[in-house]
Amino acid sequence: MGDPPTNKRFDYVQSWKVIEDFFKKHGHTSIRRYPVVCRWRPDLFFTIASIIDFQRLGKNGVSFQFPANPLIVPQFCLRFNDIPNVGITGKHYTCFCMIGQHSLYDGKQGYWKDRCVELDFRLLSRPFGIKPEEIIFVEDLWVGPGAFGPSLEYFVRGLEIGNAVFTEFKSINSNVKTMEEKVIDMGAGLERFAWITQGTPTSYDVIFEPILRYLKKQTGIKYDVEFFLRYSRLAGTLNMDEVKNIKRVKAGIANNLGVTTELLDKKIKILEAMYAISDHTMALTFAITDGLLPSNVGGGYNLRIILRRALGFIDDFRWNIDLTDICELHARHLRLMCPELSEHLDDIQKILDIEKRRFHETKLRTERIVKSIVDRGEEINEEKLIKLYDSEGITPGLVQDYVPDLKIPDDFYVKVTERHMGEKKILIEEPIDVSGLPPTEYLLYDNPKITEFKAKVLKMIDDKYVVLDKTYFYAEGGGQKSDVGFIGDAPVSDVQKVGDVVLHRIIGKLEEGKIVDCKINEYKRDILRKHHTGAHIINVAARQVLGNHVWQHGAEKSSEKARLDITHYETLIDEQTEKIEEKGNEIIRKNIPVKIEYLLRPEAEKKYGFRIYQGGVVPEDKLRIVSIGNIDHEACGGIHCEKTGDVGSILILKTKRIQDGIVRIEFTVGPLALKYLREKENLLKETANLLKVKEEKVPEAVKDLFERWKQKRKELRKLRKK
Amino acid sequence: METKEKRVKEVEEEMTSNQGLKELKKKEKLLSQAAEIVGVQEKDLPRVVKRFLDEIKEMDKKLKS
Repeated sequence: MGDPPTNKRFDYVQSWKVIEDFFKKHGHTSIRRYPVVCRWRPDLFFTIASIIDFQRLGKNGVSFQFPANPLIVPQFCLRFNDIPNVGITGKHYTCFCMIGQHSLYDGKQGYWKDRCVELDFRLLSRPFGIKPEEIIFVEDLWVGPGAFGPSLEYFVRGLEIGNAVFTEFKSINSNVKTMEEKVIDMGAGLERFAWITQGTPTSYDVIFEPILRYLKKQTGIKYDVEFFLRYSRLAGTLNMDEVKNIKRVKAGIANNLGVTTELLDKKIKILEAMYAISDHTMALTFAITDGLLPSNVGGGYNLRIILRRALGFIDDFRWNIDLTDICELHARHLRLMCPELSEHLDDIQKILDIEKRRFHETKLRTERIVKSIVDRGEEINEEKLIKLYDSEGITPGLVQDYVPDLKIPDDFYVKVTERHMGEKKILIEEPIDVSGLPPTEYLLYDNPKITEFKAKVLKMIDDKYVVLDKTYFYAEGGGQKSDVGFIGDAPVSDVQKVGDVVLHRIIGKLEEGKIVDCKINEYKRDILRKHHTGAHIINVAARQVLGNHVWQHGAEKSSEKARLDITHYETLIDEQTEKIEEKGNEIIRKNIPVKIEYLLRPEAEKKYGFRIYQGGVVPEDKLRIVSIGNIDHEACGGIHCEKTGDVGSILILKTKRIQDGIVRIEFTVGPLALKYLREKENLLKETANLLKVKEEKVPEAVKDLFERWKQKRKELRKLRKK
Repeated sequence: METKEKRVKEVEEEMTSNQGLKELKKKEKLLSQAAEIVGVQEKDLPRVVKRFLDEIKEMDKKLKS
């Protein structure tokens, strides 16, 4: 601090350019960052490290897919387990850039330990100009799930700059094997690289330099620079993960600085708030750009926490600043590294405005809710605070406005975050036992037009499931209900896949070993196909109408109706629903070809991006990509029309906000849409005939009739009373 | 060729019905507005309207007598 170990001075973005140039010069491919919202992993909401970019979970566990070898990536990551430390310690963040240096080594391609150490040492000592004697490497052991290897952490003046993990061994059932392809996972914080050249009081002063300049100007705050510099040297010890009694440590720092704890708080709180706002807005800029919305579920929950924390600081200090302006500054500051951030500023503004409105509505509710708790004589303890935040969105800071002596746990945000943290839950159902059965030949994709075929009955399970040697029946998956039909004389009501075996649920019994005639209900198959393509079309239409933040959250397509759940921050108004429907029907009228292709996962991701994971992650190495012209590409196993025109038409039946950040669109297509509307037309006609009015006068006539009926009842009641 | 032509015709027919879609949607809206006034489901509207008409007749009779 104040005396950096190098004469070179690089800002945040320059530091990346220096690192990128260095590695490119030494044979690395520099690749663009992956999204911070980790849609390619079923177990994570966010990209928490650069290696996550290349890890895929398949049927056989984790595999690595590197688009180039060796490579370098400026991977922005989000982590929410350190929120209370952010803004305080000077080196904790919810959003940071991990420089990923990765190499896959098989003896021929890539490189291994010695070269890695040589490159990292050279990077620090040459372009960054750090004296060799200041660079210290510390060897350790890294153990992960099913794999392990040595690791090297490197430090400059006690500050950890990077950590290289050399995944070399696999461990299966206590048997250790050397991996054929060894992996270097070197992750270094760009923040620390920039910081070490500048020697500023905190790393925030380097990362957020233009943002802090703006905030200081906008708020007009003055602070004791000399005092803060002295404080910053000690602030690193305020790590809430490591310190049990944060108050005691703070008191120690205050004593060291010759002030009371209260005065210390007063002097530094304002700067801590600015740092935290800078960090949180950067996280929000990346997350919203990559399509996640603040909400009270899943990863959106973490976003709302930091958003409300930032808004809370603004309110506490009565600053006249707008978070959207700060997001725009981040986008401008990082434009050389992430030009895409500037393309989503409209979405960011809309979403933040709505969230701000909601936050202030919550504030208005707080007084009533907190007063009622106090009046009932209930204690507001930690559990109550968490409940208030979880169910009402009321932050402890808001409660404190009405209960001044309230004790807020220092780790409050850690505790609420832990409840919703990090890993998605994967539900595994108890499967039906299919052991010993060969995989069913699943021929539907080879020829989706075949609806009649012969097959051999291999087994009956529990008197209700039949396993055939081959099938053209579609097994339920990807939100699409299964085909129905007949096997022999037995009606098929459901078809499920368990591993590679297809189970047909039937009513009746079939003789094992017998060859049977199978028939798929063509009409229902056709509707399923139309509903599935219709769902893709509505997804595109919704994105075009509502914005890029729209992703599919869930879907169900049956032969009666279909629904698509999309991510969106508020209830749809009629005008938006109509526009989506219109856009959808426009896509249908254009009669765009629906193309199906099989691509290896890296190829598919490279060609179409991560939007392909609309329906969630597909645990296959080869993906079936369904494309509607060049407007939509999704990894999807469903049955589809050949052209959008085959859908006929789309009719949105109902829309509903089913949970925070999720809107459900119920719709139907083609013949069913017409049937639905014809039924409504008949009901209207029948009502008009009864009322002896024209159809367009029905609402008016019903209103008159209803009034008359009420009036007569009143008169009759009066008469009875007399 | 024949199949292709047939397909084109089918699509064209669907498109034509699409023209009528807006008209049908208007009618659906009228029905839904009317059902909302009396607070019943759309499918029940004719039955409820008939009931009101009959009850008004009945009540008229009682009021006159």
